[in-house]
Amino acid sequence: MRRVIVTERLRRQYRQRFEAFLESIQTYCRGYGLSCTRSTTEVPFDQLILRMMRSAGVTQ
Amino acid sequence: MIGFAGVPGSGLAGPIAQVQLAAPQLALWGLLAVPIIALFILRVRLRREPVSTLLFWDQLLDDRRRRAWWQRLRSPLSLLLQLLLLGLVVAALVDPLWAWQAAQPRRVVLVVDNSASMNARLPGDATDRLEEAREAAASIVRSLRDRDRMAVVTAGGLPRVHLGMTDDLRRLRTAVATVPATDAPDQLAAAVTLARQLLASEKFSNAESEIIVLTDGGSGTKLSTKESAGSQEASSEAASSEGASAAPPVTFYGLGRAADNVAITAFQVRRSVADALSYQILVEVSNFSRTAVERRLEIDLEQSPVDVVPLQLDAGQVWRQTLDHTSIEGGELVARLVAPAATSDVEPADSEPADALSSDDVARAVLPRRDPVPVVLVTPGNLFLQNVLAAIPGVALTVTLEVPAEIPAGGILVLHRTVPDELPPGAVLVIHPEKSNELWQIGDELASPLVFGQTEETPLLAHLRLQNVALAGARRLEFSVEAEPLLASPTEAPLYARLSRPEGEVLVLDAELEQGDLPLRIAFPVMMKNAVEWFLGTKGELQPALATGQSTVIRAPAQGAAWLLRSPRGETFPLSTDSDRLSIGPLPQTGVWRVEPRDDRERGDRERVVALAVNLTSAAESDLREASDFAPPPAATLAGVGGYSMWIYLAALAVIGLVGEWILYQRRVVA
Repeated sequence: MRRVIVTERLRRQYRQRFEAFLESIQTYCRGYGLSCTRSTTEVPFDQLILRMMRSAGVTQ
Repeated sequence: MIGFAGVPGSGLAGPIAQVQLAAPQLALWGLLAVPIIALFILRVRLRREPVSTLLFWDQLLDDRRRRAWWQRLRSPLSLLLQLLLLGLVVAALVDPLWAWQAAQPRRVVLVVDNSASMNARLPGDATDRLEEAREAAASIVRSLRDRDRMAVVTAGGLPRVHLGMTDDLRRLRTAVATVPATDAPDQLAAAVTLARQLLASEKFSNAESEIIVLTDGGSGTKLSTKESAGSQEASSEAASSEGASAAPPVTFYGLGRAADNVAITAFQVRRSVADALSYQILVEVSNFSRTAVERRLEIDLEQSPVDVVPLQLDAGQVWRQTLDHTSIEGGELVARLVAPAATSDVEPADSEPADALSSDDVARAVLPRRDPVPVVLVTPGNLFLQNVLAAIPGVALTVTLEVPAEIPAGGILVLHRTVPDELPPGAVLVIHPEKSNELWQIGDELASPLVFGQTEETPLLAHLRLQNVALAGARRLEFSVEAEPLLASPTEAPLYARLSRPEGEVLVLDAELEQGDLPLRIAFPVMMKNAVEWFLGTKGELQPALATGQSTVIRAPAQGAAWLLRSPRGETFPLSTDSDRLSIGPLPQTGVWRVEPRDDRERGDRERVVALAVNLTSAAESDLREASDFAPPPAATLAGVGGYSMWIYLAALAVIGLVGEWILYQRRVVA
């Protein structure tokens, strides 16, 4: 973990770049017919996979 | 160099001790540095915000790190700038004083010599002496601080308070820039006295008061002999001799350089007392140069050339001459000194001045106009008498057979043979009366009507020698009023007599013109001309030209009217009309001043306008050979650096620092 002290202006610039990054992922998935789900790292990976499969109707 | 020494007498010497503080208690504002430093140390409480990746931070921060190495110094630089800003503001608040501002508060009376010699300008100089004085005065005004007060007094002509005591710098700047130029001699002694009275009314100790005189010092009437002695110390000694708390110190500053000048130092005109047409011009030209010069004196009457006199004047020579000319018309007589290279066709204003001072190169005088004299001749007919009277210059002759009831105003009645029982009031010349009346009784005809006795020293018989001339037909006349015989027979019978009566003078000549040879003699027209001029008297013979700065009293042209005085530049001044006399002056400009009715409708009436010629004619003002002995005004010392108070510079620097801090704030990134 790295700790940085930023000004409000820098924090806003960071947010803009992050949102742009997520938007580019969503656009890519839609273009290739892929499913895309956003989640935080606090959610366990297996639970995330199960949730994705349930939402896709692959399993109950 | 500037240092700060808030405590006088602290042992600091030299430039360090040259600056004092007007408000040292305001230095406490410097304690604001403590919160500034504290705010710098105490950083803002940070807000924690977790993010999912550091990828973008690296991108953003790397961009900024690459921009400038000195950005690492931003924060300490900002602190330094803020502290500097505070320091400048506090320094401006304590109001440090230059050395020339240390003796505070000051009460200054600035005496500006705006006399005629201050208009002198050497060829090639951009400004005249008065402009130099204005600039020096402006520099002195800039040296004033808020609590200082100054008055401006002018010394040209009658000393005047141009601006009273004030601390309004704007008004003072305007006042010194508008000190008017005059052509009058200086009155420095009176001006300094006026300045002292101004300071005495200010209720301040003399130690804080000062009189500063800006003068060219070229005039003999200036205070250069005793009181000033060219220095402040001398006048201080004079003050101490008058009393402990007497006069404030007087400091003289000299202006201008020595210059050569040629001037008209006298110019007057008068009508000749012996001739109705003639007039005499008295003119004096002085060469106040160190070398011989050539000039041409051109004299015009109402713009018509009258005389041109070439002059060759040695150094210091004074040329004086009386010139005789004739003219029945009066008007403005103008004398000009012209350099030989110049031509009279060129207007003086357009040509290069012949010398340093131009106002004394022109002089004016007013020649009284000869109004036609109405002469009424009552005669059964005599060609000689009629032609002689008609030939006298300025006579408007009327011939009639009837004696008029009254004589025209200012006129003369000539009675030839025909006489009434009672003469009308006024001037009457009687020639060979045919009958007696209230003033004389006619007796027997004289057996020997020769002129034996002739009264000397009377203008009635000027240029005449009539002994043994026969006046045919003369009779013995006995006068009932006091009579002065002018010509008498051997038996002492009056042949030509002057009678005094309250209603007017009467002349009686007993000679039968048709029989004797008197009309054929050259003496007869001379006798008639003498009689006419004697009746006219010397009224209006002299209308003296005034010197600048001189006052005069004239009789009002008419009763019961309001009058104004018009200057040569067209300015008008109302005149008091308490009596039939008008007090005029002192007149500060050369040229022709006019007393006119205030009513516009009456202004065209020439009889109601009085012209007054005013000339410089002051050798003291025209003599510019000696430069001033006084030191020139030390403008740099008086004005300091740029002439402004130190707090203005400090405040300006603070503003610059504020702009710098604002720029830093806008670009500030703490990383």
